[in-house]
Amino acid sequence: MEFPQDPTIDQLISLIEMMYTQHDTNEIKSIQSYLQTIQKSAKGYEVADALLLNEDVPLNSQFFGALTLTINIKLSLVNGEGLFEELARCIHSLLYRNIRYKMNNIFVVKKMFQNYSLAYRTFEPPAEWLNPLALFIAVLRSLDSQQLELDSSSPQNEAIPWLVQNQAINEIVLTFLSTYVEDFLKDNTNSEILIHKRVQNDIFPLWKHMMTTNLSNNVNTKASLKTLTTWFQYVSFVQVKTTLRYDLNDIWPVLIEVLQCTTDPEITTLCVELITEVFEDNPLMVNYQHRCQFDALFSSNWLLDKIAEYLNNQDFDSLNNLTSLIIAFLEIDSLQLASKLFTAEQSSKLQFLVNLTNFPSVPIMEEQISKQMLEFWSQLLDIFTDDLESLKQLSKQEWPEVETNSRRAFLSISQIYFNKIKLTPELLLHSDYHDNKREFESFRVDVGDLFDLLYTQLGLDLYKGLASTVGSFTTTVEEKEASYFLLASLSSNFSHANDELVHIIMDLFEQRFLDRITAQVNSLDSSKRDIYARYSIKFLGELGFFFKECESNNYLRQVIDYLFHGLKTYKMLNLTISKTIMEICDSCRLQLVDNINGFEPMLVEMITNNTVDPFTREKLVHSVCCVVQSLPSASNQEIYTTNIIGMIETTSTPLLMKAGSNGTLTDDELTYALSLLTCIHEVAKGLEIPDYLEEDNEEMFNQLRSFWMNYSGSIHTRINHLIQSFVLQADHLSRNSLLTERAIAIYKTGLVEDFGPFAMKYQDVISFATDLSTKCDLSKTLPHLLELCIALFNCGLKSKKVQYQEPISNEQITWVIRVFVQSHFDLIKEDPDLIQLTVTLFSALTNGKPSYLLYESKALQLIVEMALELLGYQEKFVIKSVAKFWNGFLAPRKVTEEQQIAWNKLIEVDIGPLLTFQVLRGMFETTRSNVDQYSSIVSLLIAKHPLKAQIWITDSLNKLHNEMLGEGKKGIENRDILSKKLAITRGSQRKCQELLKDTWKEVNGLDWIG
Amino acid sequence: MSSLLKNRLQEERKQWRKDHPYGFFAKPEKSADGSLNLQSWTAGVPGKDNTIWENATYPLTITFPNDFPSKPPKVRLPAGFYHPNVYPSGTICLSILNEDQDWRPGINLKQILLGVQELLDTPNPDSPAQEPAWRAFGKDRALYEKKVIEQAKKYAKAG
Repeated sequence: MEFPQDPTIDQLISLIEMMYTQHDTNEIKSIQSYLQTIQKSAKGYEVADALLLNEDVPLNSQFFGALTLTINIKLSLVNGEGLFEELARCIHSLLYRNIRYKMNNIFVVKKMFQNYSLAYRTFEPPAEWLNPLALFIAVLRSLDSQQLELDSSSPQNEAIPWLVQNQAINEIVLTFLSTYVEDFLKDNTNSEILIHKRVQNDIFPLWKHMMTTNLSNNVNTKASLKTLTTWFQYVSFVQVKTTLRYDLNDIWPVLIEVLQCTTDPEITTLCVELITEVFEDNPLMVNYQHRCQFDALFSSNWLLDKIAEYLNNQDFDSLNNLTSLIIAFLEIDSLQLASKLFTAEQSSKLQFLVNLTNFPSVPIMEEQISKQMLEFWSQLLDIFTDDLESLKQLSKQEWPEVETNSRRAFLSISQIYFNKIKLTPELLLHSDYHDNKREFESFRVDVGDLFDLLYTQLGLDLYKGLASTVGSFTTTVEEKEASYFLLASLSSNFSHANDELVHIIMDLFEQRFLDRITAQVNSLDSSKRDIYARYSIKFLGELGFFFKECESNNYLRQVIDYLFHGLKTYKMLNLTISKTIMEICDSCRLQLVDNINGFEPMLVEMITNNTVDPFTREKLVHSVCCVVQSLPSASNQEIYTTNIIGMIETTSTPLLMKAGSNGTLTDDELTYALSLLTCIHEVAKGLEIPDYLEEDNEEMFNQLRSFWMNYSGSIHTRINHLIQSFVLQADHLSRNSLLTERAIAIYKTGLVEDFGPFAMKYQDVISFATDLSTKCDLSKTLPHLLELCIALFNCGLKSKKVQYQEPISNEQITWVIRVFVQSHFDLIKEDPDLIQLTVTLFSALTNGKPSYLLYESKALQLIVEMALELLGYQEKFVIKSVAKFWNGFLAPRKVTEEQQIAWNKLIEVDIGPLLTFQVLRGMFETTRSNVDQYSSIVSLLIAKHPLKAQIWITDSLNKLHNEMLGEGKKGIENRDILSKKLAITRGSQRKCQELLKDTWKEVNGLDWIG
Repeated sequence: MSSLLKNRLQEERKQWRKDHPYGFFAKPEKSADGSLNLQSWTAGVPGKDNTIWENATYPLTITFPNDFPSKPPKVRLPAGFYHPNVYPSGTICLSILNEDQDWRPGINLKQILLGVQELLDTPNPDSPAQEPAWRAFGKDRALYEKKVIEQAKKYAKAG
């Protein structure tokens, strides 16, 4: 689209109209862009004037004119001179047309009021119009005539009655008053006190007068209430931002009067919302005397009549608003309320609140009041826990009464909410249930939180009541479900149980409470069973604290039987059930030992049934293995492990044979194969010897160690063979990175173990990794292989491990470096992740066996060359790893005195100068946040090789300086001073850091940064 | 705990009760004696629907330092959590939780937890905090998604 170079007003108007009516977004964008250029140009102001002052201009274009002025003021394209009069002229013209021709241009007028306010916030007004109201009143006075005549001499006070009495003017003034302060709230940056003082001194008196007069005389009530809302927000804003204070107390009696007397529902809503906002956001605006007036109103029949009226009209929105108002009012001083509400004097108020909470009809679907009251009761309960001492002090001699009555009230509240969260048929069949199910669930969770607070007051009585519901023969399935839900929520907070709690739960088991829920749920329609059984399972998962105290196998047997039954019956709950089984088996492994055989049928089902969800299968295997690990006899552990491995072996063989004979597995078969391999990993993890065993049960630990150290059976070979059959026998399985990663993970888990079925010989691990490296997709699996090598070095070079097997030999180290680093160096060089892993591998080697490098010059050369080169990398994590490597390299541990001498020689003769140069070069080229990594190496060089380091630093700085000059850069000043200063730090990391950071800033021209 | 900190944390609690998004939870931890530790909270963030994070609620711990809200709270997922912007320790790397970046004292609990929920499905590849998830996210999206879905099962909602 082509646009005119020097457009006429008519051309602009037609473009503006086109912009507002056009549908093609590209066209709109191009017109917009053109018009924006005009707005910001020298002509912008003139264009705005022309659009605003001409009555024939369409409204959209007038609005565009007002917007143009906003941009000109905001970008200071105009100066204050003449601006205020010009704004007055435009506003006058717009208002004149509004009143005279009944033109519906109020949105343009509002925009101009915003400009007017913006101008007063942006520029210093001329002396005669310092008061923003004076100029505005002058405009209003001139509305009889088409021409604006500004007279700054006439007193404003005289104008006030006229402004209030004239209906049309009154409305315009209300709009002006709102608009003038509205943008203060949006424009957060402007908190200059002078501007706010002008509002307080010049505008506030008129505002207050208009509000009280309008509201008392029922003039423009709705508009006045809207203005009132804006001003309350503004006053709160100013009181937070400045030291100015407002007294609004004249307003409250008038407002209470309006609220009490009005019959217009819209006015009631406006009042209720307005007062709620004040109570919630800035209750200090209302003084004590007026709060008492509100209290009297809320305690009067007015409130009950209103509730009845809303109920009759089924006006639930208004009812909710009214509840919010009451809650906001009561919460102004919760402490005071808590001290009074439970006394005899206020019993009717308490009863009213309890009744309100127990509002009839279905929560969420039909009523929201009980949801709103949750917040109120929670707040009140907080006082009883967080501010108990203050509450007692405040209640004085009434405290015993408060304590007794509050307990009774809280018990009622618990009963009310218990009924509210039941999954009744009425709820489930409710027409709105489907749409509001989530909100109802959220409501239940909030009720669960309330019960946590109620528990602090009601203690085990609350728990006992819920427990008796689940244990009873007579309670309904809905009641049981709600109880399970709340018991699960309460139990999740417990870490240990006292005797009373233990007995409550023991009683449940003695009553065989799970039989009850099973029977009741089974009698339901199959589609509903999962719904009602869900929280019984969750509750059992939270009972770890109980089983720690009560070592009854019978109880655990009931739990496991119920969960296994659930696994078969409640298909939608499989995930939850398998997680619950895992949690229980993990935390109660010792107690479950006697039940181990009971797990077998389910384990067989899980492993051999390929339709079982993989996660469920894997977690169940893990669970059983946790129990196996706790069997008191090591040989029994071995037998069970062999059986499980055998089961996986038998199940996977047909799949793997199919894959091995060039048959590609289907996606489902592949998923199943991956899950079976994961099961082996879960066996390994489940059998991990807990850290506490050596300390807590030394005898058992020694028995296990002795068994496995003298073990001559074949389980290791079998496991090795099984893993390899998954990833080494079929090409397409070898190239499946999920399978290879899982196989590697099994070996990694085993490496951490000192003994046991998964503690493999290092050579077996190396052989597996080597074979896999020739078959796998290296782009995906090499990172995992390198991680395995890192784990291998971290474990295999540890002196602590020597008692279990020979450490990794120099030949094995050389092999690992050759096969996994040297052979794939081209691939590694291209990938920062692989580089980082390689450096970490080198660090593991340097930390574990530095002496190796003294005797293997080829490996040393490879490692040092690579680590030096990496000092020039930009990736933060590479720099971090390489700095860690050099830190380990410069301060090797586990070396003999002789080796240390050789090591020092190696650094001082060969590596030191080059390393210093590369470190400093890398440091100057890196970003500021990486400097610390480099300075840590420099400080260590100085600390370990003080005499040589100073020379290396001086030489390196000189060399770098020359290099920089050659590249046309500034170079490094005061090099000698720097190297001397560094030398006298004696390797203090902090001092080195400071010096090098300052130098970095100078070299990079950022020395102005603090 | 200073009264300023206590008031602010009580206010956080009040605001959370008043308005918290569906599926989220947050509450102060209880001490052994039943009293509340307002400086240490547990929370749960649901994965967004129709994303690979759905159907799970991810547990968080939130620790408010003594100089909160001048300093941000420390928000952690479980150690070893699989996400490019979560450190191996579980600490979350999110600009609104970083004092030197976008933290402002006005940021409330709801904004923090919504921020974490948003981060779950929209990782920031420029701020890697752990290697495995970052690597997979950048190079092997299918693997990344598979692992996230697997992790979601671990934190699956009840039922």
